[in-house]
Amino acid sequence: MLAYTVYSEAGGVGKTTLATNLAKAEVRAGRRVLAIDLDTQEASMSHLLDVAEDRNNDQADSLLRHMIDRPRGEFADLIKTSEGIDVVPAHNILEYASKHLRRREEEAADFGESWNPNKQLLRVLREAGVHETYDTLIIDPPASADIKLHNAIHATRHLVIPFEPSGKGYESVQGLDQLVGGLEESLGIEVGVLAVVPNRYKGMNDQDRFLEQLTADGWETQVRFRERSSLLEGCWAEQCTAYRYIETHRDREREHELETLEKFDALADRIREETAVKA
Amino acid sequence: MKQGSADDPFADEAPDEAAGDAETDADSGLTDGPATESDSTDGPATDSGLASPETSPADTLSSQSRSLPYIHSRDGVKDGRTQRPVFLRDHIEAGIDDLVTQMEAEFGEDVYKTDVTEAAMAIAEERPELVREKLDEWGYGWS
Repeated sequence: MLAYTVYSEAGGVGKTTLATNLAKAEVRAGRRVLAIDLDTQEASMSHLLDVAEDRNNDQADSLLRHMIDRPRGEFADLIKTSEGIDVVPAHNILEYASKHLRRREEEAADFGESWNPNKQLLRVLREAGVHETYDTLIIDPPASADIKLHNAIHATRHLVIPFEPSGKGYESVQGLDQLVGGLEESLGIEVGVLAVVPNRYKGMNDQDRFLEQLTADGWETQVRFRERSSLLEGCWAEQCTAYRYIETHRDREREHELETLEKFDALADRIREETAVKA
Repeated sequence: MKQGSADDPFADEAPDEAAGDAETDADSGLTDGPATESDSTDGPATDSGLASPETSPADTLSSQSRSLPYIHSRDGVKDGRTQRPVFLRDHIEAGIDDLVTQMEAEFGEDVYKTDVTEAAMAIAEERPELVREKLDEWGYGWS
C-alpha cells in the first residue's frame, strides 16, 4: 500500500487541496483510496469533500476513540465516501487528542503495560486491515506539529510537502527537515520524502532562486503548481475536488485549469513511481 | 528525512513494540521517597543516563536503614521517575519479562517491571566490568 502524509510547517500553502486532489487522482488511476482527516479546522478535507456532518456529534464514533481503545463501533463504520474517495472525517474531539492519548498512556503504565501514544493510529489501521483493503492511504494532519502529526508520520513513514517558493516557504522546508529528524530519532523510523511540491509558482526570479536552493539541498521538485485561486475557491465553495468542479461547475473549460488537473495526475503518478523504486 | 522511499509500516510485523515504549524507563533524577531530613539520597541522581556522580554502596545502605526502603516510601511506581524512550531488541525486551517472573518467584510477591528494569540499569552502573564484557561480546574493541 502506498501511504503518505501531506504536510507543511507553513500554513495556507494548499496542503488540504493538494491532499484531496491527489486522493482523487489516485481514484482516477483505478486505485482504492483511503484519506484520513486529522485536521479539526473548519476548512479541512472533511469540509472540502462534504463529509463533515458528524464533526460536532458527541454521540458519534470517532477515530480518536479507536486510538484510545474506546471505540463505539467498527473502523469501517467511520468511513464516508465522496467522489470515490473513502474518507475518515475529522471529529472535534481530535482537538483533545493529546490529552486523551496521554491519559490512556498513564493508565496503561499504571497497569505495567507499554503503550506508545505516537503509534496508535498505525495500530488502529493495521488492526482494521487497511493495508489489505486499500492501495493508497493519504493523511491530512493539522498544520501544528503535535501528537496527531506524529501518529500520521509514524503510520505512513512518507511525506509529500507542499511549498511556496519564498523565503518563508524555504525556511518551512528546512524547519520540517529538523522536525522530522527529531521524530525519526524518537520513533526509531526513517521518513522518506516522496515529493516537494511548489505551489503558487509565478515564474518570478526570486522564486526560481528558492527552487534552485531546494534542489541544491537535495530535494526534487518535478511538478509545479501555479496560482489557481479562482479554481480552488470554487472547490471550497462547492465542496468538491478540482476535477469535479471543472466538470460540473464550469460552463466552459479553461485551458490552464485543465492543465492543473493534468498536474495532479502527473504528480500522483510520480509519487507512485518514487515508491516503486525501492531505495 | 530523505528524498525517496522508506520502510512500509504495514509490512508484516514491523518491530513495533521493540522500541521506545512505556515501560523501558531509564533512571533519571531519582530521589527516593518524599524529601526527608536524611542527609543523602539513595541511588545516583543522573540526568538521563550521563555519567553519575560517585556514590559508594555504603552510602546507599546507610540512608536506606534510616528511612523506609524506596518501594515502601513512594505512592506509585512512577513517582520521581521520568519516562524515557529506550531502544531495545526483541530478545532483550523479552528477557526483562523473564527477569520479572524470576524476581516474583524469589520474593513471592508482585514485582514491577519498571523496578526490575531500573534495578538492572543500577546494577550495570555499579558493575561496569560486566557491561564491558557484554559490549565486548557485541563487537566493541575490535580496533
